[in-house]
Amino acid sequence: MDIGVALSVAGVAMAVLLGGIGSAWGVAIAAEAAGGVMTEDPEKFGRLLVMVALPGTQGFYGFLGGFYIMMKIGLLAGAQAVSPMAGLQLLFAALPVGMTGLISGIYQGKASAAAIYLIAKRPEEMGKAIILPAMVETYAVIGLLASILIVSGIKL
Amino acid sequence: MSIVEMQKVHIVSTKENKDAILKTLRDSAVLDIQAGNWGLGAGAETDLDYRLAELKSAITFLEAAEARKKSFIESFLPAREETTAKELNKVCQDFDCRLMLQNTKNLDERLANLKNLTNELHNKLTLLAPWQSLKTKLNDLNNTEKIRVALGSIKTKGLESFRQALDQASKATTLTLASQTKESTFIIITFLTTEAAKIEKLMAASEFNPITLPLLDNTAKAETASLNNLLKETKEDLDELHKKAKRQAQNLKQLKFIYDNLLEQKHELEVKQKLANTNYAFVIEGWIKKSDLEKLRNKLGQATEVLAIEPAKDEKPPVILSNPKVLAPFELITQIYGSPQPTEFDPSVPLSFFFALFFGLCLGDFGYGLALSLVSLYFLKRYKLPAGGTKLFQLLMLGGGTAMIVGLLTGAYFGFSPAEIPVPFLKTIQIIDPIKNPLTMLVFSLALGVVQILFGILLQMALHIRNKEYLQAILDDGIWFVFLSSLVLLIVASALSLPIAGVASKLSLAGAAGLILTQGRHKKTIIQKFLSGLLSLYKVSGYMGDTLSYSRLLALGMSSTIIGSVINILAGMVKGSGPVIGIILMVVLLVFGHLFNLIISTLSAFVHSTRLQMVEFFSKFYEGGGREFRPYKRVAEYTTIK
Repeated sequence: MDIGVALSVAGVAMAVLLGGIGSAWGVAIAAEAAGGVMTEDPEKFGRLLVMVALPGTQGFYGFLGGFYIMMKIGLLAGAQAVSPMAGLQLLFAALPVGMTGLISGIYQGKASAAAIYLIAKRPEEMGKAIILPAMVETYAVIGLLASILIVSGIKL
Repeated sequence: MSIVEMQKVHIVSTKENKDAILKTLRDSAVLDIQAGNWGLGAGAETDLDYRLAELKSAITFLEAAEARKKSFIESFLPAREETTAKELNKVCQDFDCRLMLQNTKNLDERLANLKNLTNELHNKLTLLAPWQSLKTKLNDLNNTEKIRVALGSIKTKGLESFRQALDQASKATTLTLASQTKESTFIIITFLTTEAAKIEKLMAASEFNPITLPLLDNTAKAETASLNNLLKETKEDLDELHKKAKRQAQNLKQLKFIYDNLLEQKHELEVKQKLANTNYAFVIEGWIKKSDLEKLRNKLGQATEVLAIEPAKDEKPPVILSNPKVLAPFELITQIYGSPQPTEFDPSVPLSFFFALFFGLCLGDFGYGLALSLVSLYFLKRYKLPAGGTKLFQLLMLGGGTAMIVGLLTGAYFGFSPAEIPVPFLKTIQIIDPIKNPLTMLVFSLALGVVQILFGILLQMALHIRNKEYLQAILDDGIWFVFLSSLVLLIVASALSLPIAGVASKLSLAGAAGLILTQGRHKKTIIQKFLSGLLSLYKVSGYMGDTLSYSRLLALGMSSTIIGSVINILAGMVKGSGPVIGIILMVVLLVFGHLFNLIISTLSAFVHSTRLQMVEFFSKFYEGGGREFRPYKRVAEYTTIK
């Protein structure tokens, strides 16, 4: 194992960690709101579950970005040699998906909570409610895309 | 692909026909009744709301008492009782609802009381628990003139030092242990009233936590025994009441029938408020499909006049969408956004192709597509879904179909690539591997975006032409279309170094010039015209942002495939963990992993494909905000009439 691999692994960790934290945070915000609504109306569980799950995707994007780096350096098959500079590049490549995931996850959670209150009052507007939080997610998708494009462009 | 033509009508008849006519209208569900320009009439004073609330709380109570396990699906689709109008009426006449409600209410109250009592008993028992070893009656543990008694708890690890401190401070003080746990020790301290100040100071310093017990003529142990007896009796009572409630729950059906009947009565009263009345006659105003007009006339018969009315100029008819059966599910997307204005196109058909394609690209796996289609088909066949639900599952079924096609072309089968499947044929139909060539897929996604955006501008142009706004059609939509498409052409041509690059650049310059000249035409002075024309070019950045938004098609497609392949890799790893357990773990991981990924990816695919229609596509030509057609028909929460 050399420093290049270590840096790449740091990149993997960064992507997975930040995305995961963002999602956990966001899902918790949405789940709190859903719990509150369900004290009045437990029948809405199914609908609310969908809304609570919405900020959960950032965690996957982070994992995905991390996994893409792992595949790049063949980590699952015993890691090929990575130059220190390439390792550093892979570490930076993890930042777009990690940071956008962290922050958009939290804010998507807030948007989901607002949408949950919408459903509490007007359950028939589920369709509209589900679209609003997805607006926030766009930027996590773009972060993931940027990370993937950067990783696929890096020469080891 | 269109919006159905509507007719405004007045239905006029004599008073005695009112109920019969309303019933016919309700059962045929063809007329959207509105209050005419005579305004809303006064509502009748009724106790319907109160009775409905009363019934609702009884139903909720009995449903809880029934304790029937509801499936997850039922929380989306409450099962409805199927019945006939005759049976419903019979139940409403025969069933003694008053008595039933009174009983339920009593039960509810008694249950609540008993639950409170149980809590109270538990609290008392907890309070007495540490003092079981005391031989003294509780009311003897009281202060006297000369001696004080203090009961309380102290941290076990601070006990020894507290004892020493007491010993040093006063010889006349005693400390008795009642019980001890690892954390706290329950003690009784007796001391002289004269020394109280000193001792209490010590107690405070050692974090002594005083406890007050009820002054009973009984020991703690005896009291606990009698409380336990009481608790047991209460529990028996509770069980008895629960059984009783469960028996009462057999009448739930009747209560639900009566609830729906009252709900319909309330609805009818609300509708009656919208009518205009004279001493002998009345008028109903509303909208009906033009094609239904004759049918309604025949149904209502001779004594009733159905007059076709010319709507006022600014009056907007309600909107019904009508599309061929295959495309009808896409109306759901339009309805989520908002029905079209009567002057607009129904965007369901133009968006259908794009939505299906985008959904397929986002899900992007043959296996997932197949699973989704089958599950949707199962739901459509097995459950009686409301209109919106039917459309949703039809949409998912179609989307699953396109995902299958995309999966074949990109080589994705539950996360496996064709190289991992021993069917050589699959390799030959794969045209691209998005994971190895993300750039190609990115360009393809953006190209789809360009196509949809340009198509949107063309639709806007068609709309302007249909509404005879020719100037806007040519100057706004026409020039923008030429400008943007020549820009795209220029980019493509210079990327591939095609010879048409020169033509394209001239064309786009001409387009830009055209925009500068025309876009400021509403301004007053020449300079303002020029400046706002120039500024309009800035809108290009908006179009660029819209196009980039389509990059999500690539990202989401990759995410579902890669998560799928990760699940497969993990499953391969656990397989080696043991001879039998390995296989079991692998199967569990594969089933739950892929199921989970299917759900998450379907949600993403639906949400993001919808967003692309609403934000990037609709913004070019569609406004929405029309009023949906809501015919007068039976309302119900628990029943359906055959």
